[in-house]
Amino acid sequence: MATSPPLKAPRPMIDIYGDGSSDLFWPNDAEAALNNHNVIHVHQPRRTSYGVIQRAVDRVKAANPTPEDPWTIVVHPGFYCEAIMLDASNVSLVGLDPFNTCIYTDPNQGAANADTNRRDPLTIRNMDTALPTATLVENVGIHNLRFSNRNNGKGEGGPPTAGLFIGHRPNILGHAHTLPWNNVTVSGCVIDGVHDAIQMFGTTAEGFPQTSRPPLLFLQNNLFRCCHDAYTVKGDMRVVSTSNRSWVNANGQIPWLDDSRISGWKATGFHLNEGSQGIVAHNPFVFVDSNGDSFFVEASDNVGTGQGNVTGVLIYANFSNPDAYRTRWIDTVVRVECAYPGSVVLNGFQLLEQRDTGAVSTRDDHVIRGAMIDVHQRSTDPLATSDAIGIDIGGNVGSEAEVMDCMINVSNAGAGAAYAMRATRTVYRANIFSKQSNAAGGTYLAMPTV
Amino acid sequence: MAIEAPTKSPRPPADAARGSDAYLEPNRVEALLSNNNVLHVHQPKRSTDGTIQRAVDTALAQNPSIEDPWTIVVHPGFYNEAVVINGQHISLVGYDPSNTVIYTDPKQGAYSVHGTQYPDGTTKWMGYPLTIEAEALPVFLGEYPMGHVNVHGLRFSNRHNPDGTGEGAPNHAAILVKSGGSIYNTVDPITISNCIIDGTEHAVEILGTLYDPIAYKAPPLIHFYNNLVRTAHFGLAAYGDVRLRSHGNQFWINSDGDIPWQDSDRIKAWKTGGIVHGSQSAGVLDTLSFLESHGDSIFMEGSDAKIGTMSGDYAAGVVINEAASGSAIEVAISGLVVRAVMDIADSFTLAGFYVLNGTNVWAAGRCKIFNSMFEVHQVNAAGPTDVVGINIAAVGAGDVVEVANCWIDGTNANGTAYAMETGETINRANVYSRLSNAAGGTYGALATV
Repeated sequence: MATSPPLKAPRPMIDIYGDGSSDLFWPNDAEAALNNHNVIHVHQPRRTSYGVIQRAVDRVKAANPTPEDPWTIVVHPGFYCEAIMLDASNVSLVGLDPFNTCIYTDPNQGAANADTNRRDPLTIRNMDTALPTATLVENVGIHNLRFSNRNNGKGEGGPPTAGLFIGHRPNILGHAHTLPWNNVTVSGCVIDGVHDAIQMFGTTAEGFPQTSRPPLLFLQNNLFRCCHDAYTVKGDMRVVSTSNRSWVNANGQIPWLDDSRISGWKATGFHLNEGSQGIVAHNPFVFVDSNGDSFFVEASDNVGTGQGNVTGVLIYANFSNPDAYRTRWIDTVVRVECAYPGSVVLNGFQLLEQRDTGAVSTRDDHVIRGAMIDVHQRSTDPLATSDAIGIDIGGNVGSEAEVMDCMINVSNAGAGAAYAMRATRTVYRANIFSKQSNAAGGTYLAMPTV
Repeated sequence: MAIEAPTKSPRPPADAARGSDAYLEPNRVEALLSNNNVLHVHQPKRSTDGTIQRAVDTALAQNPSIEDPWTIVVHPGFYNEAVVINGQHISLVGYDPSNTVIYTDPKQGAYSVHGTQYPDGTTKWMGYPLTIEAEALPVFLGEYPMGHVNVHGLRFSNRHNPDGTGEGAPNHAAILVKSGGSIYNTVDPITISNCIIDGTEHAVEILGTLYDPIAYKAPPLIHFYNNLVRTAHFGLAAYGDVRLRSHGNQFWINSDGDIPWQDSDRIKAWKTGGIVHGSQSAGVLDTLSFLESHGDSIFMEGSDAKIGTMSGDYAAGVVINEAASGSAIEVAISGLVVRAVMDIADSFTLAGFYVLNGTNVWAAGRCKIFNSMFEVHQVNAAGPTDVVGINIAAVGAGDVVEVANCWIDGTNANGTAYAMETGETINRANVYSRLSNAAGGTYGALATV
């Protein structure tokens, strides 16, 4: 049943300043008048202050926004050192300059971590995880801002921080079964992470508290930059990703990230790790639709010890459950550039579903069509023994993938081989154009048998 | 040759209409913020109506031109009004597409001072939060300019169907682009980008021309990109001759009342469609009416919970309904993703791409679908409907539809699942499909074409 928006008398502005000092460029009378109903303008006078935006969020939350009465927080250009917990529904956080309106965390600068367990500049989720009283956080819009977790303190092996974090990390560990968020839209943002750019944790339970559909997320026209994973996806959710650009650079070239913390990275454009464990009512229940996204992943010998992956898209699950997820990739552009003089996994797409119980699922499936995939090992070091593979499909019995209408270009200047595709599980393929060259002389190799 | 914008000294805001208008915040702030050709609009309270309209009228009164366009900046808030832009060279922009809401809602009274009276002559008015129309409604053949209208970064919501009956009510939309009905208009591009557009019935409705007396002119051109469209019914619907370019949009078609702040009470028995084009051209320049969709994603879902009866209706990602005789449209689709998941115990047409009517001859190349993915799933075991990835239900004799480099996935918990179904010619290449139905869940071959 629709309700009428409340009628309100004009009220004075709500102003939020970093430290209340008087040397602000803003605000002035103009700002005072710009703050109308349900809008808070935030300005940052100094970088050292902390919690400016959080205070705005807390005020908004206290106002109990509803779909009929949402609130907007407008963040004006500047650098904001804080870790925001956005645990309110019907709120939007918007900026005017997605490059230089930067919300960041950095443990080197002390004030970044009031909560040392939270180094993500922005977290979207409910705080109450108790069942059945947990409140859904939904109808959240994030637009035209930059988020940067520029230092996680330990590099690889340290906290898996992100520029933007959605959900509850414990979910995937089998603890909470919540639906912590729903209907979140992120558009026009620049999201930087020394570890990940954006991490999304969905639900591991079905039907709570609202519907049998898991959280829904729209990503559109964002630029993701990081040293590790551009996207990390865990748990049940519905993700529609359109026209986003990811730049994963393990060499410390992301602007303003702390390259001293970079060592031995995995580097992945899109990392879907751990799937659903709910009981499926709707089919498909979990999905990722990626349309027109591009992933550029690069790593060189600056990367330190070369462990893990240098991969465009990695689908990996080792969680025991009978459920499945589906991913769809269309018009995807993947470029993997590696110059690491050692052994690393080099893939454009790598689809692995290794459930630790060996559970067989006939419902996991992944479709790649219309993709252009480049994978190149540039190092000529004899220790660079890894194979370079355009699409590598493995996993348990029952996993399957379909690949069609793709162009794959793989080269290997090291000691390894170059393959367009490799598969140990079912893969349907058609209309694939590929060329492979390796250190043996740059000849084109035939497609491996699949 | 580029024309330089005139050099101007700062001037006070063009606030002739605002001088005594508190709703536009015409105070010192406005004077500071309003520089050349820019009006800032703020909403002090929701009960007012016409705030943005007054800004539009003020700007258009300055006779904007291509060298001297005007911008209206709408600051976050709720604006309960039905804005009409019937002029050129004007931009309506916001910076919070989530919560800068221009909306109409007949339950709240002040929703509309513009619009069209109901056909039954009642005093109710249709609720279009934004109408872009020709400068003057034509009374005779001629050229009536519209265009160079840009809408960016705003949210529009027609949250409630005016007559309260849901499907079957007069068409209304969150955004209406109206070129003047049966009379030709000269139209420069209209651009709608980076918006969130919510509709209870249509989200965006485009009324093109039906008549083309001037052979060298083209029908309205709409650039529609990077928007998030959410509705219970039709996402982007065009009727008549129009050149429609839809790029990189996300459509969420939900018939269960999950769209934020829409009136779920009014949802029942909907048809649903992501992109709908019903060409009714009667002119000779049929090749100039086209739908071009590139990189759009359409996600559709509906269940018995709210949708009511669907008998005889359809749910389809893209619908072509060429009901009128005359010339045909061109359809060029590339990089489209359709995912439809329906849980409805009723008989209806479920398709990824659906030609409902095609009364005219489509020569080869006129309707083509390239590089796209269609998924259609009926998960209700009581729903007898067949599901079809590409359903050419009715086209004219001799028509040709071309499909290349596409992938189709169809599942059906009760009826049959087909990749394609047609009575006419489909030229196809590199079309891959997998189909499973209630009979056993096996992958079937491509349907007979």
